[in-house]
Formats: sequence, C-alpha cells, structure tokens
Amino acid sequence: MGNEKVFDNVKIGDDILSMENITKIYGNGFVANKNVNFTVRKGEIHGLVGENGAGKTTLMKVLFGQEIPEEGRILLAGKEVNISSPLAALEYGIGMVHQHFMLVESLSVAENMVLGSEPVKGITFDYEEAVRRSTEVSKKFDLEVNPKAKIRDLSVGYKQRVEILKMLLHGAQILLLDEPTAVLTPQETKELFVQLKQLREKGFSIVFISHKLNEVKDICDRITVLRNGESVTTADVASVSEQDISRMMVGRDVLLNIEKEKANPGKTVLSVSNLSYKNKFGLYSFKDLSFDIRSGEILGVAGVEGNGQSELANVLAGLYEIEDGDIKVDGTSIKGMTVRQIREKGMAIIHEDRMTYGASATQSIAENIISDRFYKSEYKKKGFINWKDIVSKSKELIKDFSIKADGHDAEVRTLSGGNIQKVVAAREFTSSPKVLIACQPTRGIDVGAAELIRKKMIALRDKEDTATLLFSADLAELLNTSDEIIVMYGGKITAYFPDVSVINEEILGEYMLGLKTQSREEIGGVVHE
Amino acid sequence: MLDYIFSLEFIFAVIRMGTPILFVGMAAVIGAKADILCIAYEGMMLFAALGGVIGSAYSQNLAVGAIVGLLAGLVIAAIFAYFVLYLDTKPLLTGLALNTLGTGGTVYVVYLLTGMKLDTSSLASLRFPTIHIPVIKDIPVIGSIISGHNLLSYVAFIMVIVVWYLVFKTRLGLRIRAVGEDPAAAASVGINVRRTKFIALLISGLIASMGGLFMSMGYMPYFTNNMTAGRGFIGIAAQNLGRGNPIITMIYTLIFGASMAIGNTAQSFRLPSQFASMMPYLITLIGLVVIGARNKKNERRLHESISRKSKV
Amino acid sequence: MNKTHKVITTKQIETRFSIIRTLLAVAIALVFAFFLMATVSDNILKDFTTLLIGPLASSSRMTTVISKMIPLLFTGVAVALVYSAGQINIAAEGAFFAGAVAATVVALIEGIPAPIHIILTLLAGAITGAIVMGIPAIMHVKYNVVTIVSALMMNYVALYGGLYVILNPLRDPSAGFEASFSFQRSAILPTLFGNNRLHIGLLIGFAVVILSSILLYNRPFGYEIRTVGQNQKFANYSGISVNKTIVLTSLLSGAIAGMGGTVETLGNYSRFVYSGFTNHGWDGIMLAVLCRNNPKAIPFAALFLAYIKTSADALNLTSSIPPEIISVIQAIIIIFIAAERFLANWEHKKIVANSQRALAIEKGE
Repeated sequence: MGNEKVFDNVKIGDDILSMENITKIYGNGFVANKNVNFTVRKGEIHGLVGENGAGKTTLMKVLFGQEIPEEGRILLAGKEVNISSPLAALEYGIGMVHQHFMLVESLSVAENMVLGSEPVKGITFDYEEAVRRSTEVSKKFDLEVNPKAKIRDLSVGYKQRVEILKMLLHGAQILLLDEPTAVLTPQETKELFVQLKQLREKGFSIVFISHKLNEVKDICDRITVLRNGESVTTADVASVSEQDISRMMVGRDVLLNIEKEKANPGKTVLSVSNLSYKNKFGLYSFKDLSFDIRSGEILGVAGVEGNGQSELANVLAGLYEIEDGDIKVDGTSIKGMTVRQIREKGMAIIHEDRMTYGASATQSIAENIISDRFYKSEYKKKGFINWKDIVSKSKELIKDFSIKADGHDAEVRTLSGGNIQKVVAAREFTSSPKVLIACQPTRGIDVGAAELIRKKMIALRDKEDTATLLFSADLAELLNTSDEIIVMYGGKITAYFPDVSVINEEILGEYMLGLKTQSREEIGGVVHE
Repeated sequence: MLDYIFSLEFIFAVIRMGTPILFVGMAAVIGAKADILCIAYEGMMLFAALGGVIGSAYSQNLAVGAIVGLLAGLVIAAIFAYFVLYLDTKPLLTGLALNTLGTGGTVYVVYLLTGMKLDTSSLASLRFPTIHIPVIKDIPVIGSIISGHNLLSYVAFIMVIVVWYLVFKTRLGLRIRAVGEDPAAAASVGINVRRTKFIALLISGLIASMGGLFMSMGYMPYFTNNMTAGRGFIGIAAQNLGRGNPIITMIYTLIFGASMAIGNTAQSFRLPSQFASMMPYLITLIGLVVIGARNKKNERRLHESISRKSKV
Repeated sequence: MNKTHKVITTKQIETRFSIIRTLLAVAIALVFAFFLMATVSDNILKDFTTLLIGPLASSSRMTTVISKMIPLLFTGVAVALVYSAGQINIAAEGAFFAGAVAATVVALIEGIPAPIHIILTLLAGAITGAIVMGIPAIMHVKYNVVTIVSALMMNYVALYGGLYVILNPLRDPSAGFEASFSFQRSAILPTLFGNNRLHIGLLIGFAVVILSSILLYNRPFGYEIRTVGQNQKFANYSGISVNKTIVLTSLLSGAIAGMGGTVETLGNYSRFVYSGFTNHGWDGIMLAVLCRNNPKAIPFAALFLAYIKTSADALNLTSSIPPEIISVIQAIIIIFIAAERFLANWEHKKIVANSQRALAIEKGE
C-alpha cells in the first residue's frame, strides 16, 4: 500500500493521526459525539476509555469510515483526509477489530483474511494464493493460524487473532481494537497484550478501547477519556491513577460499594435439581445442575461467557426446553409450562439480549411495560384494554425509574441503552416477582442507570423477599450485589461461596478459568433442602 | 399414463416445461446467496418476453430480439435493486409492485404497438431454434433424449454449471456469499455491500429474463397476457426446496416440469383440466411440508454430526 | 415571546415525513401516468382530466366508486391484520376467490329463508377463506415453511380448485358462457338506498373495519397481534403464545377476505362469473401498505383506489387508453410509499437540526 511511505515519514512518538471537533448525530436524533478531539502517536498504545454510551465506538466508526460525522476533520500524518468508507480507511492504513467479529462464519480463515482484496486467476478466486498470503502474514507477525479452518469451528480468542491478522494483511498501520478483552479469558487477554506490545515495537499504533481500567493501566501509553459524547482529557497513563480515570469517566466519585443490609433469607423459592440442557448441536450446554435460592437473597453466578449461563437463564425463563431434571418454584414444577404460566408463578426475567428479547423497539414505552400483564383483569375494562389506566401507571413508572424519554408513547428505539434497560426493569421489577432472573442487567449502560437498577434489585430483595439469580460478567457488580455466589465452568457448578465478603475477583477468576474446583460437599451447600 | 411417463414425449415435455422454471431457479439461487428475497421474477420475465418479441419482430434478427428482451428484464431487476438496496424499500412490496407493473405494463405496451390486448400474434416475431446435435443425435435412445431441444433449454442446463461456478469458484461469488451471510463483515474489509448485492441482482435478473425469452420465443411463438402464470414463483419455491444448492434446485425444477407435463396431458386421461393446472402448485405445497417435516426431524441429527466433525 | 423554532419530537418529524412521502408518491405516479397516457392518447388533456375527475362526472360513476370500494374494505383489512402480526401471508387473493366459490355453493341451495341464507353464505365464505389463509400459517409454525412461497402456491390451489367446483358440478350448460347456475333469490344481498349497485356489503364492510380496528388497538388479542408482529422473540419472552397468535390472526384474516369474496359475488352478480384471479387480494396488500396496517385508514385508501379504478374504466370508455394504466399507477405508488429512505436525507437533516436546536436550548438554560 502506498500509504506506508506516508507513515514512514512520521517518527516514532510523533502525532500520526488527529481527529478534530468530531460531531456525530444519529438518525434518531441521538448526539453520540460532540466536538471530540483525539490524537494518536506513532508507536503507541492509546487507551480510549469512557462509560458505555460515552461515544467510544461511534468515534472509532467515524475513524473507520462506517459513520460519516456531521462536523469535524481527520488529519493523517498532518494531511486532511476524507474517510468515507471502510475501504478508504483501509487504504489509509486504518484497520478496525470490532467487538463483534467481522468474520464470515461459513468461510475459511484464508478466505476471510483476503476478503476485499482477493487474489484471482482470471475470474477465478485463487484459493491457494489466499492460503499462501495468510500463512505468510501469520509467520511474519508470529501469530499462528490454520488458513484452511472454517471460522465457525474456531474459539473466540482464535477468531480475534484472525481479525488482527486480517487487518495487518490489509496493510493496517493503525489498529483500532473495540473492547477486545470483553470476550476473552484472562489467559487469552495476557496473550493478546503480548501480541499488542510486539506490534507497538514494530511501529504500529494501536487504539485500545476498554472500560476495564486495570487493563488500560497495564498496557496503554496514553489515554483519552470520553464522557457523554465529549472528550474530557488526554493524559499519560503513568501520571494518572485508576481513581482519577474513573472520576473523569463518570464526572464524580463512583460508589464502588453499594450499601446494603445483610440478607435475611427465608425458605427456598427456586429449586433447580439435576437440570440439563442440550443445545441445537446436540451438545450439553450444562448438565446436572442443582441449586436453590431462598426468598430475600441474591445468588450471583460468575463465569466466563459461554459456560452455560446464558442457556441456564433461558431454560429458567421457559424459553428453552428442559432436557433433563426439574425446576420448582415454590414447590411446583414448572417443567412443560408456557412462558406465561411460568411468569404467573412469580418469575420475572431480565434477558441478556435487551434489544431482541427484553424490549420491542418499535412499540411505545407503555406497550413495553404491559407486555407481561396486559391480559390481566387490572388492565382491562369490560374486555377492552384500559389504556387510560395503563398510561397513568406508565407515567408513574417512567418517573419512578427516571426514564428519560419524550413521553409514555415514545418508541423504545428512540431511547438510549440505559433508558431501554430501565424500561425493561420497570416491567420486570413491578410484577411482584418471587424469583428474578437478572442476566447482565447493567451491561453496556451508563453508571447512573446501572446504579438505579442495582438499588432496585436490592430493594426487591428487602421489601418483597424476591429470590434473585444474578448473572453478570462484571465481577465488581457481582461481588457488591450478591449475597452468595456460584461459579459455572464447562456447564457445571464448580464453586459455591455462601459468604461473598471473604472472596475477591482473583479467587473467582481461578474457578472461572477451571484452574480450581471445589469439592462435591462444598458445592452441594447451595442446595439448602 | 405410465406408458406416457416412460415415453420420449414425456421427457421432452419435462424439459420444455422445466426450462423457464430452471432459469428462475438459478436466478433465485443467486438472489438467495446475496440474501435478498426477490419475488420480482414474474415482472422481469414478462418484460423480457415482451421485449424479445418486439425486438425480434422489428429487427427480424434473433440476437437483437434477445438483447432487447434481456435489457427489458434487466431494467426491472435494476429498479428492484435500486429501491431495495438504496431506498430501503421492503423487497416483498417492491417485488409485488414490479409484478403488478409486469402484468399491467406489458399489456399496455402490447396495446400500444398492436392495438390488441391479448397477445402479439400479429407481430412477426422470431423463435429460438431447435438444436439437433450432430453425432449425438444419431446415438439410439440417448441421442433422441439429448438432441432436438430448443436452444434456450440447453442454455438453461449450462446455466446450472455457470451459476455453480460463479457462486463457489469466482471472486464475485465469494463476495456475494460474504455480503449475503454477514454484510457487516464484508463491509469492514471495504467491500461495497450494496454494489455487490446490486450486481448479484442484475445477474439474477439476467438469468430470469432468459426464462422470459423462452416463454415468448420458444415455449410459445408470441407474447400473451400474463404468460408466465406464476412460473417466477415456482422457481423461487424450487430454490427454497433446494436450499440454495444449484444442483438440487435443478432437480426440483425438473420435478415441477414433470408435474406440469403430467398436468397438461391429464385431460387425455379424463382428469378435469383444473386439476391438471393445480398439480404443480399442490405438489410444491406438499413438497414444502414434507421437506419441512424432514428438516425438523433431521435437524438434531444433522447438527450432531456437524458438531462431531468440528470437534475433531 | 413566540419561539419561532419550536423543538418537536423525532416521532413528529417522522410522521410528517410519512405524509409527505405518501402525497409525493401519488404525485409522482400521476406525473408518470400523464406521460404514459400521452403516448397513446389523442387528446391528453381531456383524458388526463378524465383520470383525475372522471368518477365525479355522473352519479352513476360515483356509485361505481362506492361499489368498487366494498370488496377492497374486506381485503384491505384482512391484509392489514395479518401484516400487523408480521406475517407476509399473501393468500388473501386465494381466500377471496375461495370465499366466493363457497358462497356460490351455499347460494345454490334451495329453500332457505332469506336472512338465514345470507348468513350461511357469509359463514361458508368466511370458513373457506380462513382455511386458505390458515394453511400457510400452520405450515409456517409447524414445519417452518416460508409463508410467502406457500401462500402463493395456496392462491393457485384455491383458484384452480375453485374453478373445478364451478365449472364441473356447478356449471350451468345453458348459460352460454362459463358460469355457475343462478343463485337462489334468497341468497342475493339486499340493496341500499334503492340503488341496485349498492348492497348491504357496504355496511358489513364498515362493520369489519370498525371491529378490526377495535380488536387491534383495544382488545388484548390485538395487542398480542401487534406485539408478535413487531418482535416475536419479545412476545414469546413476555409470555405471549406466538404460534397461536399467528395462526388465529391468519384464520381471522382469511375469514374476512373470504367474506369479501362472498359479499362481492352475491351483491353484484346472479351467478359465479370469475374465470381467474380478481386481484382484490393484491389490492388489499397495497391498501395495507398505504395505511401502514391501520384498519381505520383502510376506507380512505380503498376509496382512493376505487376512484382511480373507476377513472380507468371511464378512460376505457371514452378514450383509447387501456385500463391497465392503473396497474402502472398502483405499482409506482406502492414502491415509493414503501421506499423508507426516499427523502431520508432530507428527513435526517431535519432531525439533526432539531436535535442541535434541542442541544442549544439545553445549554442556554
């Protein structure tokens, strides 16, 4: 690529890229970036931090030509450039590794790596040449991949390696990594950091997006903090503490510890015995799970994504079929019940997939709030839906959950992620649940919304004696909100901690990675009867 | 009836009936690979059929007729692609609108040119020739099966190979599969998703238009009002049953061809003609249910074998 | 002080643009029609005037407009309902046809008193229509068959199956053309206002519109239909039975379309006369799209469509322009209204400007 010369003229440590006064407004009127300034030097790892919704991903999409900003300009090695598409970005030597991998599952590694600049013989795609190029780049950067493997057969870490190599093969000199560690195990993360440092030595510039501050401290040279779509500051990592960064991100001191009373558990409400589930591939997602939750307690579930937690939540919600075993709510088996029957037994579910399951984007807030209860007599008048009543109840909930919206009839798609989750909570928390299944309830939402949801969860525990099963990838949240914790690894429960106060993230980590497993007796403690 | 099914006549009828459906089936394979639900093939075929007739009638040149016909079909394909890809129009509605345009618009043009509304029999349009393949035609049995069909019938079968090669062996095919399966991934490496889909739809439209040409310049000697009679849809059904595989799709189009052929002769077996006409549609429905039921049953087994393989 | 630039919600802007888009689509279609007609017409101004205001020329033509509107009320609502459930079930055409056939069968039975006979024909039409649209729905939920393909095939099965019934056991050899025996008098729909072209089907049609609208927006089942239509996974997670909703809605929709066939046949003819598709089902799709699946808007759109259809008939009588011009106009309208990004850049600019104004006000306060 011709741009390599442009990059060669820039000395290590000099500015190679600067974004000036970038403003991006989305089609629904949401202002994602407001006059953002951002500069990257050659041969540095630059952390872009901020809460979810602060505009990090949008800024990177602008840089990668996936979004066109309303205002602002981008300078590359001092010259203004117009990045109108990913193709243009790639030609300028900017490559992006997305949070959701941009790999075509049914194609091979080699086919994915060369996609967009495929070798041809006449009109025929030259597969052998594609394999050769992939092998070459893999050797050059010392990142091993099998070019002929199909993407769908690969692990997450492997796919990420393919993604990075793909961008390098396309001639990227500046790599944008959007929360690359979110999907990785700690080992994989370590491995990734080694690779990134090697690339830095070779003169590559890396933009590292994360909201895990320890990682940022660990690997970045400088950071830029975004808050509410604006750039707050840029600083040398060495000169700021994690607390400083966190304060800049939120704009105030964050309460890391949620104040809550000690739980006062009653009798068992949800009882899961020898539960198994087979996925559509015929493999067990989890097998022989047994645990109980008592009224008035929060049981946290820790685990690296993909160890059966998501399937467990879906089975409990009645969305997936039980393969074997039983689930009892208040002593009654819910096996074979419809979702409505299960909900009528007192189950409430915050689904991890907010936009597909949790909410209906094109319906109003009021319509979203009543989706589990519209048919009940309180919401009807002579067989007709009592909209007047529903509207006034919705208005109360909008206030109570401080949902920011145009009104009760605003379509959910026009809200921000945090407000959408508040709508979901406004429904699930107000059905007087005996059991609450909360899956990643604060993932990807702003701190304010997350705090509100955690507080409401604890209020449910204390005031309505709700038994809560909390799935969260955020260990700090798990440790602060739960009363007890179980760890899932490989579709099994590998640890049970009846007292959360005596453990920390490191201890959880060892069990989450399968390095340690408790004895049967210890794990059996989670079955209370 | 069995005598008929084992006769040479029947094989000829199957190929004749199957040709237009085979073209649409191949067109639909490309559409499906690009992940676009295109139901506008009826409209494309009708315009192509009419275009071919007009072009050949006024120029008295078969090639000119073919080009005019293909261009007419391509225009419809381009309108479809533009609205669906660039104006975010729902593909189903766009298809519906263009099919409406195809039925009404062609009649309008026929009237404009001939003053008649039903057909173009008053225009001296040309037909594609029947091909007698030298040497092969003299081989007993096989020769009489393989030789002696309309030129476009041969093109249709060659098209199966062309489509297979295009989809699985060329760079364009790789890109079409990529944009169809994961448009975001394709876009992230600089592939213009809309343009790739646009090209796929044009190729798809071109192939469907050949089916239209066959209708008015092979199957029949002139254009008649709404002469495709749902063939565009049956082709889509064949693709659906064949799950996007060109070879399996071809087999289904021939099954449809056969059911039409049986239907056409049903009257001579004292079956009401309406039953005969209903045959291909009823068979498609039953076929869809049978395949649906089988897929459901096999899903687990299939996935199990896949996951076993991937584990190794 | 008056604020000259009021900040409005994004939704309001979107509503405005959907109205602008509809009007512009009609305008574009008319302009196109003008040029198309000019290629055939001897007197384009006269003919175009006929297209625009021809139906208003006489009271008989105005009656025709209303009469043409009646079946459209049924198919429009039928499609609007099934589309509200997110089902691209395009078997309304077949349901309409099959409904007319079933009504014919019942209408030939002798010796049933008038009001009961009419109710029985309506019931027969409704049940048959429900079966035609119900089968693709059941195939979809049970065997995961793509509805659009099966519904299309179902249309043809209904067409040829119906024609078989009419042209074999029920054919009247003395009719002189392909048609069924004459209906019993007791099955013919009573007329309205002493006008022999307006029948009580009009009232039934309006009843269907009103009841469907209430069902969709004020009954729990209607909420289920719309929720399933917007997001099936969300509906399922909330405890709504998605499959049941899909099948019931399709059956209901088919019943309405079938009743449309009944009303149209028994209100206008003395025997079954169709020899092919009537296009009312396809028209229903266009109406549902125009109305964004809101039954309340169907009468207006149906009136509009009936109006241009009457224009086309008038053109056919007074000029050399073939009535097929109407399908061209329909195609253009449907495609532009459905084009979501048509005018999108303009709309986006408005929304952006609005947001920036909101930001400015926020900062100013």
